[in-house]
Amino acid sequence: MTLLDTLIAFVIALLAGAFGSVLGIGGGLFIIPSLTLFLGEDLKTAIAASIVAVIATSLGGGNVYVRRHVADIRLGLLLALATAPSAVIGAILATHINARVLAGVFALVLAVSAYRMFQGLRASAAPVPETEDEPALSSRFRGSYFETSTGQTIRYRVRNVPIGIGASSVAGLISGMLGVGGGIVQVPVMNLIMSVPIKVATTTSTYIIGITAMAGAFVYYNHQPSYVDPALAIPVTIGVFIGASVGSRVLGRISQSALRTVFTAVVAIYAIQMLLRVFGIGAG
Amino acid sequence: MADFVPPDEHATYSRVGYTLLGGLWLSVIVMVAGFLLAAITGIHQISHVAPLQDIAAELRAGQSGALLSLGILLLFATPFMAVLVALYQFLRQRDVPFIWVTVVLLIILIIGFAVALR
Repeated sequence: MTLLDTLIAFVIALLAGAFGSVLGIGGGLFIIPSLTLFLGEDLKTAIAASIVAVIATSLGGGNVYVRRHVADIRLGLLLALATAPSAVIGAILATHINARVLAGVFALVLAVSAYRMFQGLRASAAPVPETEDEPALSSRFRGSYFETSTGQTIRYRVRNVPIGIGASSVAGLISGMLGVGGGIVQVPVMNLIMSVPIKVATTTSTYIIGITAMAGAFVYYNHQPSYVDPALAIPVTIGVFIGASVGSRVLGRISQSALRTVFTAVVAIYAIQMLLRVFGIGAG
Repeated sequence: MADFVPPDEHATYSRVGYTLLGGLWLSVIVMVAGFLLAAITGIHQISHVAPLQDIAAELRAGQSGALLSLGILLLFATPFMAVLVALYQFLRQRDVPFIWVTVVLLIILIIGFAVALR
């Protein structure tokens, strides 16, 4: 990589971090196709760079959400029992399967993400109120957080814990295989299946993805030859970190729907570009 | 911070949160230091991470690639350290179910590392 390539990778990550922080999505969906398209990076090397950046994103956001007691540590650790091993499996699969197959899976995830962003997160389950006659197991998975916008303490009870753990393994698999956060699966699982309030679901997802991505990232690091290229992974990591830190302040004046429209269009274009790669058309 | 959080629970969230923050800053500082060293000694040297078994020797030799690799590994280690801190806090709180959840998670992560090292 040249110094110019490193700078381009940094700028791509800066934009991904900024957009991601405002729209509440991971940067991997933007970073990986950008690195392959503009820098001609190998897909698996781009995935490895992204998964390192995902850990930094999780640590940067997760530390704040945990200290504010919005992310639910216990729920996160419980779901990580499923996401961590499936991320390792996903990463092992990614390092062994053909790049075109990987591009096909990535195109599918990009298309689903674009569709979900286009729709917005309209379906949001209401928190389930606590009852006096809860079974013992469910009573272990209760939580509460302080909603700053209303000044109220919101109490909730986590439901369908075994189903939630099972479904979370899909998020781990996607994260390990594609180097993304997996929030596209993890947040709906917590919100719609487990009745966790959307704010707790998104923040807990941010906390979990660090544990999940770390499990998968080690596979990319130790692969011979290693897929982790420091000249790519570190500028991407630092770029995402800075972008996420300043994104809401810099992009805060632009309407969220306008940003969402632009980002959705970019992700949709990337989905088509990835699909073309499956058929041997385009870069990489 | 909301006022409904019991003190021991507040300590758990605070210590886990600061572990994540501290690990992030430490790894970023090491990465930046590695980049500065690489800029002085030649950026072409950092296209591959150092193998785990070679990092200590390469660090002693003052190689920028080893410093960059160390920064990346510190980043990887931070979520693991936060799980360890959570386990310590659950032990203090005598939260037996989550002591088991955390222990099983740590075992899973260690098995994952072992698989990756093969």
